Amino acid sequence: MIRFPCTLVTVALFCVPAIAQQAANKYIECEQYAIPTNTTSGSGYTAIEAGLDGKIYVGTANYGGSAHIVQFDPRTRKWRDIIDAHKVTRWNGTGLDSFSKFHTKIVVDADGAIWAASKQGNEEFGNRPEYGENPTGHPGAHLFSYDPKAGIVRDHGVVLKQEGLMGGVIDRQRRLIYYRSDPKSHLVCYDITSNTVRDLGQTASTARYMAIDPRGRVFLTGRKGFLCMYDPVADELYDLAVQREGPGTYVDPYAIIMSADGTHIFGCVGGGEYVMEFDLESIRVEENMPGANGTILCHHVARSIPEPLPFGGQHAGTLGKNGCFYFPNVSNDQAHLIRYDPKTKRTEDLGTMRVKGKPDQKLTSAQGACVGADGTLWMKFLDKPYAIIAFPKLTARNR
Amino acid sequence: MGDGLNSHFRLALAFVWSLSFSSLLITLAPAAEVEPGVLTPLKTIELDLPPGERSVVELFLTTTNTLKVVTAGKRLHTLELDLKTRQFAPAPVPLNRPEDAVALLRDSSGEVNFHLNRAGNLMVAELPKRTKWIDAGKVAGVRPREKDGWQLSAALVLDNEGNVLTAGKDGTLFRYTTKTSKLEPLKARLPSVKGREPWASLDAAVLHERNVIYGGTFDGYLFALDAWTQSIVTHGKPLRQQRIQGLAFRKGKLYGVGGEPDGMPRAFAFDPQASTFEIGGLLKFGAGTYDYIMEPIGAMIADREGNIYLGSTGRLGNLFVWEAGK
Repeated sequence: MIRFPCTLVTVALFCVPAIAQQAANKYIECEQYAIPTNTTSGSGYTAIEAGLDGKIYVGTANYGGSAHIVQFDPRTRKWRDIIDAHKVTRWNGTGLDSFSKFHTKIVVDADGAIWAASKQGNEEFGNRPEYGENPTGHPGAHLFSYDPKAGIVRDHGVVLKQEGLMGGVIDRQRRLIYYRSDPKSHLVCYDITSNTVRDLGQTASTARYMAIDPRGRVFLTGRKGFLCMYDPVADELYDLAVQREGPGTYVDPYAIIMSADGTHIFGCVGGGEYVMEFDLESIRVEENMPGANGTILCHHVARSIPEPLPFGGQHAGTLGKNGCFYFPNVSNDQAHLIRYDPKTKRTEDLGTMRVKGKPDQKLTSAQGACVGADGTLWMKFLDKPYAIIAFPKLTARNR
Repeated sequence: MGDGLNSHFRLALAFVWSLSFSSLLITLAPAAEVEPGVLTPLKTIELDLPPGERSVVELFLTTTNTLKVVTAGKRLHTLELDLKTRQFAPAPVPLNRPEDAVALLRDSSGEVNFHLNRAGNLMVAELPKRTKWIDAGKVAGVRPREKDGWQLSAALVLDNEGNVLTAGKDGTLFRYTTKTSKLEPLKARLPSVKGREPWASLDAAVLHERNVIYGGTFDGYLFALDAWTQSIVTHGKPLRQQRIQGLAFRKGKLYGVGGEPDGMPRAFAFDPQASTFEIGGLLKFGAGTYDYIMEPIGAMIADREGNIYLGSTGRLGNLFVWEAGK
């Protein structure tokens, strides 16, 4: 009677690490392309997107100096420096409050124009000098566009005085671009046609990612436990209280990505146990709801990494051409590539990411992801070297 | 309008405080007796407004030691905060306010007796019914090269005698004498640099001892007005930024918050005896990177214990208390 459980425990003690080891030993290889070191101090965030021209556009962080938008051509494997923030703005600021980051998600208009906005190089708001009181004061993020056909960069000026910009989605139909300001977290809307900006109000968001549905409704995290939704038809900004369904505790997502059919938003968060699916059909706007303007259901649909691996950092995400949600999960100090299939509601660990020809190089800090027209998955890593990596055609529909 | 109105205002004087339009709220609580500066030991604590209540636009004290907090989310409400327990009374009460008021004064029962309207006229309630507003006259000037650029002050303040003071055209101070029901310009003018007179409006004001009123201007100057002699002493700008968002006295020291609406509010203190400033920086209420009060403080008030409450603007306005370290 006593031996049996003891045997079980013994087997478990030996087997569980073995299974974990087995899971950890599965690799998925990628190509790596280091970002030009003269454009960055080795850091960068959400700013990566595939242009309609097939090029990959990347925003860098260059603390104390000028941030850059650089272009990578997957055919020639060469980089081009497209925007030097200081040069374009003729701004000679130094220090952390100069245009030291391109943090926003780079967005692409229907005509192929590349849009990006700058940010101050810090989050030390306690010492924030206001513009004008200190030579390094941040005057406010500039919005830039790049026309790849004409090769022209345009500076559209400061969007919101003294504020940096983060997040970013484009409504191609209405020709509107949305950002979140930093640190005051106002949702701002830039109208490409009229070259005007509207401040849509406070969100209390620290969101890096935003999502937009086919109706032009914009989503971003808000106060803790809330998802903000801006509806351009009603011209209202709503605070939707999130109602969780499924196991675990709700934690505000870091990356949010619109599903291919525009009915759900996928989400993941550092250390998060579950992949989230926000059901846009479940949105209820309520006039007299205390503390909120309505509700939205969030389903915890699947473990963010299959057992037995522990949950880790999930600071990027993107939608594959096949409709699956791809995100990194840095478990046991190793970046695993996770695929969530909304049809089966399952996650799959595609393996520990490993750079082709560099088996000993560790990838641990993913920031930003996008997918090219051919289904190639691109990600940006802050490890040394600061680089983008590619999984050729990984997310293609018929692969 | 004469004696009845005057006595009414005298009665109200002890309880009524200036108010303005905003949406967060803060309290300053007593500091230790021995301290390097009056602002240094204060810490900010967030006090949540009841669910659904946002955007504090006015603050005033009642005779029963409660603070009335007027919120303007989708509707205008009055919340009652018990200053001892810091608990809100359960039910918010709908509140009336003149639609075109840019600055106003209430009595302790919450009724508006004066307001400055959008056209820059001082409006006086006809007592006792309050069914009519009497136009006491134009106060505001015009700001050149601005669309609809009335030079409107955000503050009305009562002096020791129950008269109402505000500022208007080219920074001129105006007094409405309740005994005579007359509005008149004073010889005193708000401080401003040359050419900025049309922008010299009264952002905030508070009555101190011996009928001296401390005020702050749109351009961020702090001044003291002797309401008897009509003389002004300019104390300069505590902050580089424009705007004085709120002022309140506690233990003989003046506490203030200033800064531009699209910047971040910053605290300062002024010692009237020594004529010195202390700069307090941003208003941080938590350990998080973003735990700063980021929207303008618009309403600020001190209670009898020396706590100071403030309000700031925004759709997500909340309640805070500044507390001294224990």
